[in-house]
Amino acid sequence: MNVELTDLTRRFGRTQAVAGVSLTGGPGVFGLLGPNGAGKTSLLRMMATVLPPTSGQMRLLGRDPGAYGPRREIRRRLGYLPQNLGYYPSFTVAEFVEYFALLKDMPAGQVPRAVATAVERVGLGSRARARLRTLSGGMLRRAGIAQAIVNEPELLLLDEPTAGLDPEQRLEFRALLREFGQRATVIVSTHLVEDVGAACTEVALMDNGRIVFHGTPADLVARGEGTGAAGDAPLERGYSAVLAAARSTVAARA
Amino acid sequence: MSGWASPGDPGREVDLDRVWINVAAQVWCRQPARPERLAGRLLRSPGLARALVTTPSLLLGWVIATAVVLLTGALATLGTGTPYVPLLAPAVAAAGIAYAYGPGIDPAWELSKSMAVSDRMVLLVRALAVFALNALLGLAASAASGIAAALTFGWLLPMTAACAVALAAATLTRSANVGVGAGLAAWMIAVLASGAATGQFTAAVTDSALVLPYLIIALCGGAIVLVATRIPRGTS
Amino acid sequence: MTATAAAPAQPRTPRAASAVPLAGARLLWVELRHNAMPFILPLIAALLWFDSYRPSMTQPPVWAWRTFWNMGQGHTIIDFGPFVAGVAAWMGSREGRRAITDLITAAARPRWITQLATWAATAIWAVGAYLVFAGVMFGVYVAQGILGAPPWWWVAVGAVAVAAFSAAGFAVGAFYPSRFAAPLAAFGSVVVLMMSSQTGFRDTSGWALILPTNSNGNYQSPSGIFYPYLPDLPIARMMLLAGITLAAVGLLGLPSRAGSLRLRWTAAVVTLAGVVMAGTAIGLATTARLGPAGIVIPALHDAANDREIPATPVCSHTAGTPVCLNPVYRPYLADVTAALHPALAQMAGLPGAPARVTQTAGSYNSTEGAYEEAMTISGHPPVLGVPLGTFLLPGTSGFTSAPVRFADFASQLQALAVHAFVGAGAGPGTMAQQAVQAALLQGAGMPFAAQPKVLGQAGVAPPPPGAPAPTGAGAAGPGHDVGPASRSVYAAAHRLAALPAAARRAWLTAHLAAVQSGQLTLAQLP
Repeated sequence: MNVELTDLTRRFGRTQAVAGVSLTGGPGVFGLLGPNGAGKTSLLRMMATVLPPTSGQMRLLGRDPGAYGPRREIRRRLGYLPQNLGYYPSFTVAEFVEYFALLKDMPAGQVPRAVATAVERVGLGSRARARLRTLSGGMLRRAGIAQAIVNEPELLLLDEPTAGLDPEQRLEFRALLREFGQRATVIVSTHLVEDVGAACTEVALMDNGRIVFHGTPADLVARGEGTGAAGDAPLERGYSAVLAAARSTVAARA
Repeated sequence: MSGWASPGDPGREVDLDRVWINVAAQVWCRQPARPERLAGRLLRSPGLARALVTTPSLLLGWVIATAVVLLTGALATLGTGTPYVPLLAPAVAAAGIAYAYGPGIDPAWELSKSMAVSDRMVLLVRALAVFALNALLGLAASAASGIAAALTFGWLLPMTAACAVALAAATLTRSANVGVGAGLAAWMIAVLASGAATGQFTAAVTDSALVLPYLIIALCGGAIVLVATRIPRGTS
Repeated sequence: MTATAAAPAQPRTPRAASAVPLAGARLLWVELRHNAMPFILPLIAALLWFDSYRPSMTQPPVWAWRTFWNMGQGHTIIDFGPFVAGVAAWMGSREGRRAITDLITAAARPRWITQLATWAATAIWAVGAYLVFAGVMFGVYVAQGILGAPPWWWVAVGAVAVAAFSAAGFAVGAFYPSRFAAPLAAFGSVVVLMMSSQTGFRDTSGWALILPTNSNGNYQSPSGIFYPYLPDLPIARMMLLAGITLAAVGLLGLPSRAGSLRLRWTAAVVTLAGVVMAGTAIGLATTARLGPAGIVIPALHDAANDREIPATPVCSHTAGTPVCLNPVYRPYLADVTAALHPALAQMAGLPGAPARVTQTAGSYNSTEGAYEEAMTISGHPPVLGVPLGTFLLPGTSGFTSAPVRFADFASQLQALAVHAFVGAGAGPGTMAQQAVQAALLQGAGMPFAAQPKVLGQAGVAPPPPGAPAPTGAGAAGPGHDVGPASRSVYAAAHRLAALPAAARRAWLTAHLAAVQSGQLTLAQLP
């Protein structure tokens, strides 16, 4: 198992962003759905070892990220695309990807080829030497994806990766996810239901810091059948139905 | 090549892909400059070396600005006799240290924190490099302005203290500008207060009674930085 | 897409006239609430305390003395300037750093107006803080019973300087929206202030006097006591600083994204007005010269400010002589009277002895640009003029020394009073004058051995052996040598002091006029 989370929580002051999430996952593409403020980003940040959990247990790639050595090892094998990707305007695309390849402790001799591969994979080959400040929002996002995959990660965490991508690019991105999912654990956090349906083998739905659904996309579709839930597509109806059920359960308990 | 390529894609020549990747790697490859190569060997980490040479306060523009400020001080000293370099150097260094690393100046801070090369190492290496460069520039300016040896070297400890204050403030508040403000204010207070008390504005640099306070401030600042940048251990 | 008949134009409801300023005020309120300036104020307050307030407390509780360093020499400007400029640059670069320039430009309100609102909020915080901090400092002075008149003009100069730094810093940030804008503006301000303090700091005339922290362009020791603070230089400095402010905010309105063509022309006019104002101020400063009452700029000078401030002196008596001081120095009347008593007692009854002691502004040395410590005896009946403004008063200290003891203060006053009495003038005097002076001081209780040091501190000691003999003031008429003090001077003084009191008084009565005119030689002393 590449990801083993047991009762993971994270508090920010009085706000509980992640409330007792348990999850395990091996190779494959795992979709993390949920409304804004559900705790997806906080969960992803904890898995990216950027944010320590308040409580609970976490093992990534068979290692405990609490200690320095294992954490470093995890980070060498990790690819992470944050929701708010900052960039260095004066860097070129290639320099940007190379910079993070080096920070991931990739052997220097392997870096040029890895950078070229990653840049080509996201379709930025023609803009490899363009400065980041000259790129559109979608291209910047693709540059961010390139740095995430440059080290052929075993654990790939992507937070809202398709923001700014046009439909054609989204199709190609889903193909990339499927390809990576064959050998790595890919976790995609998004609120775009169709992305999850097209690329993911497993889906979890978060609401108010908890996982309220875990299964396959087909299971999610099934949850929405016959409920009259809102949505233009089966997955959207399943999504709405699960959320409604989760919220009514919470209300009943309250 | 348009679109997103993937190995084994039907209809594509795999050999051409591989050839192109190799060509692209050579064309796009950035040749590290000598300082970066040297740093990579010294630090035994190309990533750390790359992080070092991209330090905002080690970029050419900043270094030139620092040199200009110190040169102005040296020229003013030659013209008026007031030793400005020992008074300016700690403030300039404090500003450089505050701009060495941290969320205040790194737009990709979130990403940087997830990297194998730890941010603490990056901070340490950058801070030392900025300090060393400012010390060298300051010593050169001091020597050029012809001031006494005691003044030429006397400001290194106050500079350390001012840098520690700036770095601690920048780290705690996650803002480089707060660090600059704190470092600059602390140094100005030290200079003006000791100047008002003794009548000599260089007292902040020459007064031996201030050695211990400077040392304490430097140590406290360093401790604050160490604590603030510690990575909390996991819970498992 | 099918063609349709154009919909009838909807009449626009005109905005209520009151809505425009209300919206502007609301925008300003939002900017005030979200400004970064308040966060730097504690640092500035600490700096102000160390640099502007604490040093001032070593001075006597007289406005001109207490505010000489912090207002007159612009230390409040030094404390505020770099930080205000840095924070203003941060605020000015906000649009660029947050990538909201497009958003601002596309809004109905012109971008220049929006920037002005941000700058205005920054300046209000900065200038407001300056006035509050200065007000608190002045309040403390008032609570301590400070005397004289406050230097309001110089407070105004500081306020306009703070506004100028905020405008310049804001413009730096707006045109260079980088994370480095703030330290760049801050350190640039440090360099500017450094050069402002050092350029022409010994000049008593010329353009350099207009620099905001030029240490020579402040007021004189009699300011606010004998003469009003001259507003000439403060007005010129405020013109310069206001011009810089206008030019900086006008520049913001020049780029094409700032607003409509008409607005940009307005901004150009504002910029030009600022440049002209600053240029005019510099031009006026080239005509400035330092005078007894402060800097005089002919084009701005009001002759009414040359008149002394009317005041009723406060007096006491000692050794039969009234001692009168300016009412500002009332707290020191007892000390001055007690200090002069021994010397006046020695002079009493002798020809030329002062019938009255009066505090004066002092003799102004136009070459040095400062008042001299020398006392004078003049008029009929003779009046001893005492320029107290040049002395460190008992209990106060300069920036570098321990508080002045009464004994030291008294020694200085006695030495200079007797020095004036023997007619020695600004120099050490003839050897005969030195001898008579020494004998009188010894009679006043100052031992011979202590006199050289006291005279040295008073600036009227003879030059050391081997130094060239003094010329000019202190030089006697032809045929009399004026040379360094020597054992012979003190030997003659010993002999004079050793005479019985009655004999000594008789000799002095007979020969004092000759002594005072410099006609007597050392050999002619008993």
